[in-house]
Amino acid sequence: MAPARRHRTVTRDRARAEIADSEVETLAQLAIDADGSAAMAYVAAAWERGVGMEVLCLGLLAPAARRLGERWQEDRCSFLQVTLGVGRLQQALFRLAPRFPRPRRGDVGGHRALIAPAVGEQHTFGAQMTAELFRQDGWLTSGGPFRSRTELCATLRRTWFDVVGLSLATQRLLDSVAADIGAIRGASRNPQLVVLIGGRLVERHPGLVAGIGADGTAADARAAPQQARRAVARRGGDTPGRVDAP
Amino acid sequence: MRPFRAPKDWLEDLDPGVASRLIAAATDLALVLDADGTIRDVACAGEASFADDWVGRGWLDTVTVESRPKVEALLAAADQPQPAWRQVNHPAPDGGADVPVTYCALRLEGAGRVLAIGRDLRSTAALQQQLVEVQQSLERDYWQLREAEARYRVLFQMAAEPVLVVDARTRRVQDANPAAVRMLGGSRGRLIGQAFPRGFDDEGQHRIERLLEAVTSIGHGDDVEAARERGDAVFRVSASLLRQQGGAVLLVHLAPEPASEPAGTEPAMRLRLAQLVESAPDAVLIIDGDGIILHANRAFLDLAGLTHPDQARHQPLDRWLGRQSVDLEILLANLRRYRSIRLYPTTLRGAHGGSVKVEVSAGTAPNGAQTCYGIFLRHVDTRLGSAGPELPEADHPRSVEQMTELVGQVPLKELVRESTDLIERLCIEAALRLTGDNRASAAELLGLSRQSLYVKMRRYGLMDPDTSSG
Repeated sequence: MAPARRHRTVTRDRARAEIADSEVETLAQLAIDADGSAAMAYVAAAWERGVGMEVLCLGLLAPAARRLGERWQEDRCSFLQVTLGVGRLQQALFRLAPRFPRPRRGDVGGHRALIAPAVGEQHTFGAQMTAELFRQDGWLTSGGPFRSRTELCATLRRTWFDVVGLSLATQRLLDSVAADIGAIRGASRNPQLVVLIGGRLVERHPGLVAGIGADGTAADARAAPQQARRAVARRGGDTPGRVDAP
Repeated sequence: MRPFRAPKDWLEDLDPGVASRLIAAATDLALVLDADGTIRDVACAGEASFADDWVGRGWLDTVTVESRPKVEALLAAADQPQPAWRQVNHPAPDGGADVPVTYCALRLEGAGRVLAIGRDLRSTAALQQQLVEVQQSLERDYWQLREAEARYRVLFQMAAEPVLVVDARTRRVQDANPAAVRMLGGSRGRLIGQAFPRGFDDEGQHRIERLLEAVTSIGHGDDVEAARERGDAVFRVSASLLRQQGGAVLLVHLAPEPASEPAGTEPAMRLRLAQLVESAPDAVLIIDGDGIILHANRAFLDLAGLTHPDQARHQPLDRWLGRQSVDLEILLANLRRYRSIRLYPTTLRGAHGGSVKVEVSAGTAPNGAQTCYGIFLRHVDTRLGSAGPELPEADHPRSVEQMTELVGQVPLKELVRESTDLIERLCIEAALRLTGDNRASAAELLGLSRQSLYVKMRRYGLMDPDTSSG
C-alpha cells in the first residue's frame, strides 16, 4: 500500500493522465507474449504514473482486450492466445484493485449491486471492470461468473440486491438471458429489483436487447453506476440509505 | 509457405478421382462451393454429423452469425496465391458447443468454383473450454476473497478493542482500527507508520518488545500487561504472526484492563456512584410512588436491624419509618407536590424494638413512566431504646421549639403529657431554687407531700445521689 503522503500528491493529477493508442497496442502484444508478467508490470507502471482508475479500465485495459478480440477475428492469433491474453489483463485488474482509492462509506447509502456476465457468456472482463466502477461509486458490489441460472437465482434469493447488471456479447444467448431475467425477478428478495444489460451486444445491436425484459441498457460502462442510481431512485429506493439525486 | 517448384511437371495428369481421395485424406473436411458460395459437395475424414445437411446450402448459412464475415473474407480471398486460414464456428445440430473449423479457400479453375479445405479444431476446442472454465473458477474465487476481505474490514473497524497491524520486520504500524486510534491517543495519520510499541512506560515497552520478538521468532508468545506512559490506562497485549507473500505482519490486540478504564467514562462513573451509595454512612433507599421499597443500602439495613436486602425489598417504608403511616403519607404528598424534601424529622423503628430519630431528605428519580423517589436518612440521635416503641426519655426539658417539631410525629395526647411534665419539672426546679434546695420547704411551696416531691424529683433526674436520703 502506498504511504499516505505519496497518495496525496498523485491523486491530483490522476484524472488528467491519458492513454495513447500505441500504449493499447503495446499492452495487447505483451498480453500474448510468452512472459505473462510483462503485461502486469506495464499496467502497474501506468497506475504508478498517475493514470486514474476509470481511464485505466476503460482507456487501457478494455481497449487492449478488444484489440486481442480483433486479432482473433482476423485470425492473427488463436483462441488460446486471446483467452490467455485477456486472462492476464484480468489478473492485472485484480491485483491493482486493492490500490484503488476506497470510496467514502455511505456514498450510495449501502446499495448493493450484482454485476456479472450473462450465464454462458465467455466474455467476462467487461463485467469485472464494470463491477470495479460500481464499487468506486460506493456500491457494495458482488460479481460472478455464474455457471447456471440456478446458481444465479440462488444468490439473489440469499442476498438483497438493488441492481443486477448482466453483460452480454454473444447474440446466441439472447433467449436464454431473457429467461434468466424472468427467473431472477422471481427469485430476488427485492420486488423492485432493477435489471440492467450491458456489453458488446448492447453497443452493436441495441434493438435486439431492448425486448428481453431488462429495465434498461447501459452501452457505456462509465455511466452505468449513475444510471443504476437513477433507476433505483425512481423505484422509490426504500432500501436503507439515502437516495441520491441524479 | 513453400509451394511445389514445378507443379506442372508432376500434377498435369492428375485424375479427379485420385485428386478427390488426396484431398479427403489430407484434410478433415473439404467443401466444393460454386461461384455464389453454395455447397455442392462435402468430403470428410472423420466424424462430421454436423455437416450432414450441408449440400445445397450456402456456406454462410452453415456458420454462426459471428463467423459470417470470415466466410465472406475467405471467399473473397480465394483467388490469392497464398490465401490465409480462417477459423469459423459451425453451430452443432444438437444445440451443444459450436464446432470450430479452420478453413482455407482456393479458387478452382472453370465456372469459378471454390475448394475449401478445413481442419477440425474440436479437440483443441475442448481444451480451450477447460481453460475458460478454470479462469472463470478463479474469478469466482477472487470475488469470494473480496467479499471476505470486506467482511473482515468491517469487523476490524467495528471492534471495540484496539487492534493494530504491525510490520514484522520494521515494527511499524501498518494499520489501526478506530478503537486503537481512540485509546492510544492521537490521530490515525500519526499512528500509521509509527514505531510500535510507543507511548508505554519503560516496563511496558520492554515487555511488548519481548513479546513481539517471541512471536516473530517462534510463532507464539504469552500475553503481557503494559501500562501507558501517560494516564492510567493498562492493557493486556497479545500478538500473532501472519505470514504473507513478501514478509509477515503482527496482529496486535490490546485489551484494556477493567480497573484502568479512564476515570471520566460514563460506565466507570456510574459504577463508582453505585458503590458509593452502597457503602455510604447514611441510609439510602429507593421507593416507588406508593412507598414500597425498591432498594435499600447497607446503612438502612443496619439502622432498621435487618440482615438482608430482601427483608426490606417490596415492603412499605412505613413499616419502619415514622410513628404511624402519617409520616409516609406526608412524605409522599410533599414529594409529589414539591419533588424534593429536606430535613424532615421523624423516627425509624428498628426490627428489635428500638427507634432512632432521623432526618429525611428525598428527591424524585424519574424512571420512565414510573416515578421513583430516593430517600436519604441520617440518624441524628444515636441512642436506641430497648423498651417498647416509646419516645426516648428526655434528659432535659425540651424547648418550645422542640415541642413544636414534635407536631406530626407525636399524637396530641403525648404532646400534652410531655408539656405537663415539662411544666411540672420547671416548677419543681423553681421551687428548689426559691427554697435554697430545701426539699421540705419546696414541697410545701408546691402543695405536694415530701414523698411525692421525691418521686417527681427522681423521675426528672433532679436527685443528687448523696441527697436522696433527705
